Amino acid sequence: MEAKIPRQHQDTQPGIEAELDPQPKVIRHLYKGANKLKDKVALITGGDSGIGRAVAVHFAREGADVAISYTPREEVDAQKTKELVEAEGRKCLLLPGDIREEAHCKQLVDDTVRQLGKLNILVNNAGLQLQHKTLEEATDDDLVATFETNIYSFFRITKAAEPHLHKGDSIINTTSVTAYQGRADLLEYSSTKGAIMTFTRALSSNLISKGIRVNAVAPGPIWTPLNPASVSAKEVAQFGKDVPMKRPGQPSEVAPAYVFLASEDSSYITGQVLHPNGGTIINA
Amino acid sequence: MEQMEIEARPQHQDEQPGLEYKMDPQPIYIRDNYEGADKLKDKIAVITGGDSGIGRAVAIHFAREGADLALLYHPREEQDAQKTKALVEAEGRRCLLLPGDLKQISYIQETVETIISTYNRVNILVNNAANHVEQKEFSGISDQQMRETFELNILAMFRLTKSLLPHMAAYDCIINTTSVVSYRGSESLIDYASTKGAVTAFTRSLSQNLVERNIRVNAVAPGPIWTPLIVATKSPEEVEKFGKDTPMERPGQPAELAPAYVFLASEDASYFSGQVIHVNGGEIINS
Repeated sequence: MEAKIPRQHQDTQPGIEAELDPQPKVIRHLYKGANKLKDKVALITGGDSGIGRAVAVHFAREGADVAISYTPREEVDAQKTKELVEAEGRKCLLLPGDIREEAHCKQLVDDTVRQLGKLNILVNNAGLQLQHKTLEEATDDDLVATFETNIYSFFRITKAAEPHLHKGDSIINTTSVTAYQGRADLLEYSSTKGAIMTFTRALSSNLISKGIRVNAVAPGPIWTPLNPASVSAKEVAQFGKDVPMKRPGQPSEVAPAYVFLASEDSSYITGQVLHPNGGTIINA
Repeated sequence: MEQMEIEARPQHQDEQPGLEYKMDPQPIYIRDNYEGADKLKDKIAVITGGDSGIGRAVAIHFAREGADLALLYHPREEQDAQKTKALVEAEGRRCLLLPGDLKQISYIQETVETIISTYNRVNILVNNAANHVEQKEFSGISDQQMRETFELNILAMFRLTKSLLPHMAAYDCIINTTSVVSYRGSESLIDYASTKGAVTAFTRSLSQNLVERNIRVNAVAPGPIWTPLIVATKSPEEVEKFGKDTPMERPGQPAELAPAYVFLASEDASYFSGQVIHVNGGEIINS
C-alpha cells in the first residue's frame, strides 16, 4: 500500500482516475468475498472513481448489484468501474448526471429501483473540494456549489431513497477527517463534512425505529482523483506524509469499512463514524 | 438479524466472574450465516477473557477466519473455556487454554512463555478481560475494589501487552475492549468507567508509539452486550431492563461485537490505528 506519488495536477473538476499516476489500488488481490451483501442492491454517488469505485467493486465481490452516479465528464472512469463490477459477476447500472439538481437526485433512486429491482444500501459519497488560501478568495458560487454537491444531494437522495429502504438496510455517508480537524485551505469542503457528520447522527436516530442503520466513514488522505484536481502539484507530492503512518491510504484500505457498515457485521452499530485516516487521533 | 433481537430475563449470579453456561437466554456468539473469508488465515491470536461473552465470540469468529488461539481466563470459568475450545476446534483451529489470575504478574509471565513455546509468535492481541462491581454510593467503593478493578482492567493490559510485544512484528495488531462508559461515565461504575477511560487513552497513546513498527492499535467500545459480566454484577430487575435505554431498545449480542474485532484485526483495517469502533445500539458519543 506504500506507493510514491509524483507531482501532478488536473485542471478540471471532477478529477479523472485514468489520469492518475500511480493508479490508485481499488481492491487487494487477497480480498475474498463472503456473501456479506448477497443479492443486495446499492446506490453509490461518485461511484465511478476513487473511494466510490473501490466501494462498488468490494460490494460486487460481496454479492451486490450496484448503481453508480457520476458526472458525464467521468464517463471513462465509470466504464472501467462497470467492467470491474461485471468481472465480479454482478450488475452495474451507470447513472451520469448532476447531483446538484434536485430532479436528478430523485431520478437516481427511481432508475436504480426500476432497473435493479430494489434498493438496500445507499452510499452518499460524492464530494466537491475547492482549495482557497483565503476566505476572500472563495466566491459565492464556490460556496453554493460545494454545499449543493456535498450535503444538499445527501438530503435529496436520501429523501428519495427512504421509502424504498426496509429493516436491515443501511445508509453510509462519506464525511472526512477534516470535519473534526478543520482545514484552513478547505473552508467550504470541511464545513460540509461537518454537516455530513451531524446529518449522519441525526438521521440515525430518525430512522432507528424503521430498523435502518445510518453510519459514516471519515477518511484521511486517500489517493483519489479528488486531490490532484483540487490542490497544487507540489502539495500532491507531499500528500499523506503528515499522518502518523506517513503515507496516503489507498481506496482499497477504505472500502472494507463500507462493507462492514453495509453488512450484518455491524447490526448493533448506528450513528457512528469509522476513521481510516492513517492513525490520526480525533475525538472518537 | 431478527435472531439478535432477544430480551434479557431477570436473573443474578452471586459470584464473579460470571458464567455463561448458567445464563438464560444463552448469548449468541456467532450468527448462522457468518461466512469466513480467510481474513486471519494462520494468524496467532491471544484473547483475554476469551472463555465467554465478547471474548468467546471473538475467539470463534477469529477461528472461522483461520486463526489459532490462546485464551486467558479465570480458573472459575473452566466450563465456559472448555466449550469455547470445542467451538474453536469445530472450526478446525487450535485453542490453547491458559487459566489464571491476570492480576498476578507471575501468571502473565508464565502465560507468555507458554504461548511462545506453543506458537512461537503472536499476531493479534485482544485485551478484553475486565470486571465491574456496582456501587450505588461512591463511598461504597472500597480501596481494595478500586485497586482490583484497575489491576485487572488496565494494569494487566499494560503488563500483558509489554510482555507480548517482543514477539509481535510489522503488520501485527492489538485490539483493546473499552466501553461506552469511557465516554459518558457511569454513576454506579465509577472505578470501572475510569479504567475504561484509561483503556481508550492507552489505545491512542500506544497507537502512536507503535506506528513506526507498523503495529496497529485500535479499540472497540461496546454498549450493553448480553454477557456473563452483566448477570454477575446487576440485580435481576436491572438485568430485565438491560439495553432497553439504547436507541435500538435492546441489548446487543456478542455475535454483533465480534465482527468489529475481525475487521480491526485483518488487513481490511490497514489504514486504521488509534481508533475506536462504537458498537452500542445507536448511542451517539462524541466521535
